[in-house]
Amino acid sequence: MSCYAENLKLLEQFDKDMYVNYLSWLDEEYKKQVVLREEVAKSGTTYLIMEKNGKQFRMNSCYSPENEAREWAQQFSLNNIRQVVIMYGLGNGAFLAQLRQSCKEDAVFVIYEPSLDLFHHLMQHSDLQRIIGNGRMHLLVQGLNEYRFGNILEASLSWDNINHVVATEHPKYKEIYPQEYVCFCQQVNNEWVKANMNRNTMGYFGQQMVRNTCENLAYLSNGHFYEQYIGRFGDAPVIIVSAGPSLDLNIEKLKSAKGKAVIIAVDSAMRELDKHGVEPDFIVSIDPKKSLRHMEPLIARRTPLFCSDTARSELLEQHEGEKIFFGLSPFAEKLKPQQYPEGKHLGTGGSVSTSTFSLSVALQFKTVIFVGQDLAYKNGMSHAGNRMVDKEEQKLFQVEDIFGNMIASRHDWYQFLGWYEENIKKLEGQVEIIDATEGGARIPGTKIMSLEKAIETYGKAEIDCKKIVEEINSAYTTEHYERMLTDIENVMKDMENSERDIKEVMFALEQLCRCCERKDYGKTYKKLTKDVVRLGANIKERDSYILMASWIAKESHDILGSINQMDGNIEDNEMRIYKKSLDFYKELEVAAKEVKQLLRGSYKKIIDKE
Amino acid sequence: MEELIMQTSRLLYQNQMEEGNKLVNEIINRLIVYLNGQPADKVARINQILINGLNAMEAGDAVLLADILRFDLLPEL
Repeated sequence: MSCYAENLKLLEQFDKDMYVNYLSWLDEEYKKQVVLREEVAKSGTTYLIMEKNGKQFRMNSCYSPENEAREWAQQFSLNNIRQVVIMYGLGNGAFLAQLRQSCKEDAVFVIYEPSLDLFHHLMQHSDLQRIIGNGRMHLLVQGLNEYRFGNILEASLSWDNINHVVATEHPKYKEIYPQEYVCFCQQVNNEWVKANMNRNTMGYFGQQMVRNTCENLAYLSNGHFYEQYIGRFGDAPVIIVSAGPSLDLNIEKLKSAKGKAVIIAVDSAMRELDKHGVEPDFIVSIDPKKSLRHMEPLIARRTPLFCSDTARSELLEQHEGEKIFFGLSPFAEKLKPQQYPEGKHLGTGGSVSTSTFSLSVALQFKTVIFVGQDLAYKNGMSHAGNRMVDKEEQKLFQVEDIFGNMIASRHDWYQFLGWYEENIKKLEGQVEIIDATEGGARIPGTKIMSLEKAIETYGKAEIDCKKIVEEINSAYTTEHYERMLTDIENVMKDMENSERDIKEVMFALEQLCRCCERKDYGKTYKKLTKDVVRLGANIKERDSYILMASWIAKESHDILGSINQMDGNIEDNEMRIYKKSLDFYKELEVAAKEVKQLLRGSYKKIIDKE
Repeated sequence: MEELIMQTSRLLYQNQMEEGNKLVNEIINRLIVYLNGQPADKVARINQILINGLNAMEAGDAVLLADILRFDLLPEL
């Protein structure tokens, strides 16, 4: 089989969207933007030459591309655990290959390629197996799948890795694609800022999220995954029901949409829907500390629930219907059956409504209708049912409403508005988005329409969601289920090993502090530093560390926040680092005990449920 | 000299032009001293390499300059 056929097969297998877009690009009569050719370097390997607007750019060294890539890559510190590398421009892949070689196996790569012609060239002439068929390698090609860039960045950058993200560019691309480079930098910067904000969220929710993940494992093992629902709803539109104050206006009209559209309600809209006798097809819940009152109505407890494993576990316990998981935490991702590969992350946007929007797009709805998505106050009220639920005074923003007037919005809503704008733009021509809120902020990129008109226009299909849910089996076969149990057992064993390593590393750190006090930097000191590095790496490489690190997110920010700041003399800095590290491991020791207990309880709960 | 050339070419491959160019000047200064008393054919070869390097520098082609230093100049010394 030719290289091109192999690459096409891989693309079809691992990235269907990209495959379809690539084929339609090939079908269209396209004009080449750049001309590419390869020449042989003095070392015998090939290098790439790109011609754009009559100008030639040599993309690699014409002496030794491999030496150039090796020297170039030395400027980056890449030996971190869960290293993230974001790269602008793929070229012939030589620089990327060198970066990969310098990173640990768990590194994640996000590559943005602005030239579709170059991607086409690589499809024809290079073996792309290491890129396309690799869950840790995300390739975004402008014109094919660049709309996913934001979501993939969001998934890749997190509060615990933003300090060791490497964002770089192929040495020639800044010169060849300067405008696209500016957009690339802006997006990376935006996501970096968001990851920093998430750091604060993790500090606040960290323990609750771990607790929820552990408690919810029993539901996960019986649940469905959203991937099982992709494409199941045919041409039906989806109505996303949020709990904004305008929901009061058209809540009754939702009844006429039943069976013509898929109605997905966010958890906080459930009590209002129940009051009006509106039965949605699905509910969505993701918040780790959501009020249980939303699950009080009988209808809420029985409607199938799209949820994350970090959603409040008591809420999932109250819920009696089918649970369909999406937006999993890194730990739960690892326990997923293999047919749903890790890495297909959906953007969350920060709220249950924005997450539901991402979910709807992932489920391949072609029409999304918003209801109750005000993102603004209405007559001083924040929520439907004439409710004001702001707990503290909010910083207000003025935004344009759907009628062209200015209205008051809140800081977080304003952020969501920006998120919608950014994400809707990426879906242009693929998904039609109707704002049938009948009030609230104007969401750029949406078509404003009354709910009645939207149902009349788009609700042509007949859809039976109950039947669809009934037809789908649990994602875990007996074999998957047993593997999941084994995986959890292994994590518990891991925890014990980690507890032992934590004790050892704490002992070594105490000894190091004493060496510093005595100014003894001899053989013992060197051995101890090596021990600390080795044991620390052991602890962090285990899957159990994901849970422990989340558990102490707040404490580790406080302790480790300033660990890299150097002041005073070297000895003082060393002593300070050892003491801070010691504090960190003391917290980790407590976390290991707590999380182990939680996992034991969850394991028992899963067995009991069997 | 070998170390200086290696370091210079590394900086140039990494597109660290300011530091790289400073070291290129340092290489040229040292070469002027080195070429004194060298056989004429060697001087001619090194001169040609230097001309190629300066052309690459003028064209803003840092990678080519780095290659010339590493793969043409270094083996001559």
